[in-house]
Amino acid sequence: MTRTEGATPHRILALTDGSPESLAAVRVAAGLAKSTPSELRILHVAGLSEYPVLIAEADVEVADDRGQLILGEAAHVARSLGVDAEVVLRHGPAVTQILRYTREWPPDLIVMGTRGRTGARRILLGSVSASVARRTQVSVIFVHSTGVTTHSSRVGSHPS
Amino acid sequence: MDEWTLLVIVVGLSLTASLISTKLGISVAILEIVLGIVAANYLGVSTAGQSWLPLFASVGGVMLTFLAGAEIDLVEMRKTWKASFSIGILSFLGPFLAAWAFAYLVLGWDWTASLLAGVALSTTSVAIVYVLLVETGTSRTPTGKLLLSACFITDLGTALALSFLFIVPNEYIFVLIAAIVASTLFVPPLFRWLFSHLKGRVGETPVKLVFFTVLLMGGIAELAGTQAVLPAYIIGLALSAVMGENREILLKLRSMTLAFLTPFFFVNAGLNVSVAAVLSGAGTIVVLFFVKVGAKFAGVVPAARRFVGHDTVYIALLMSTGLTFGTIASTYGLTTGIIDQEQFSILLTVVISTAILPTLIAQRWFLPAPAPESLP
Repeated sequence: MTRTEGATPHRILALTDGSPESLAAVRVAAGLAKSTPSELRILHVAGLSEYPVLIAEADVEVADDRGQLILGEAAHVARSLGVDAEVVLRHGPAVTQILRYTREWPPDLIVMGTRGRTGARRILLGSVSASVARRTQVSVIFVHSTGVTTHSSRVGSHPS
Repeated sequence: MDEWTLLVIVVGLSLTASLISTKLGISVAILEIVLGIVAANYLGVSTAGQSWLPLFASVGGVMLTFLAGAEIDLVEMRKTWKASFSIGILSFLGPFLAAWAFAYLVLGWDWTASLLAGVALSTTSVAIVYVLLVETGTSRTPTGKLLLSACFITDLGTALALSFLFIVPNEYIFVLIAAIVASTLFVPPLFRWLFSHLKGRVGETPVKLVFFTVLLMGGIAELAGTQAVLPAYIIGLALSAVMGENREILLKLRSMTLAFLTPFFFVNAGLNVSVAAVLSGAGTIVVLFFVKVGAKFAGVVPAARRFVGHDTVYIALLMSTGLTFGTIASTYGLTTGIIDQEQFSILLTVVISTAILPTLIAQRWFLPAPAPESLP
């Protein structure tokens, strides 16, 4: 049984990459955090060039600056709904870092945006949301342009 | 194929690699090599009779080496010299000796080709290690700084081995040694003074000055019967503080090198790979990969246990990564005829594998707990 089934979430983790879908996810998460009430944290994983030839090529400072902007915007969205969220910036492969963070700070619910990639784009680019849902034991809410989908690790399905 | 056609193809492949890299998040350098392999093996692109491409590729490799040297933090290296030297030297010696012995005794490669294999597989990618340290929030911790310093020592070992193991010495070797010593002592203060007077003027004089100095040292190395990696790395190291103070000049140098010179280096490497050789040597590639990684573990784990005391498997995996210096050594071996195309194809494939596989294994199974300062 997942932690949230039939229970009120006390820890909500919203994931953001700065996309409109992920900001919508922050709005949903902030709404839930306010109504339950729960602690809200917003996580952004800054991608790095994984096999650079120079240290400078990793562009850590650029990724940091961009990450802070994205988190600032997400925190502002949450604050506009009356929720003070803690923001967290991590670096590296998104799925690995998200799962890692959920072990450090185990949430009761993950809220994330999804772009609904299909076909070749999904094969080539993969889907962070699908991978996270597949590998976490925590319940997940997906927010996409057409609405909200819930996912429990027991259900084992994921919106396309 | 005429010169312009090949030039446009190489630059086009590099552009394609950058575009794909943006979408897929895969290294531009690895994609440039892969696209070079595809172009040579499946699209009929040939470098035969094109002497300018190896020259451009060589300049790209030398400038890349200079920039790698300029990223060394000498202050941190001095602070941890004992530990970083111990880990760095063992990280170089273990795989160098193991790969050399394996190539000579088991694969039956000749003496110099076996030495070259040892050098190419002895390397550690500082840049990849840095990224992995950033991911675990340890790049600014004492352990992170120690490991980066150790990587630089390993690469210095590679540069020394590449320069002196294959040398055909002549009287110019004394000129080279004098030039290296003089450049280490006098170039940093001279450049600091020149940069302060030349910066901001038209003509990009400081950038040309750096190019001229690095290429001049490369030319002297060539005259001395060796090659330019060592002087380029040492000048980079000597100028690291000055370049750090003049970030605008460093940025321009980096942009020019990464946008226009290193593509020749990496695409040229890919163009020289034979897919048939890779397929027929697949078993050798797998075994050489494990020889390198196994020897890195044998050298690094005991030293890491002594000087770091935790996450020794993760550290050994980090030190097992390789890309730039391994490609430089392999390309040097091919260009000078030390190794043939088949051996080059095998070595380069092992080098690329060591860029990817240890990284993936480290990220998937051995990521250490986050450093205290990276916790929220």
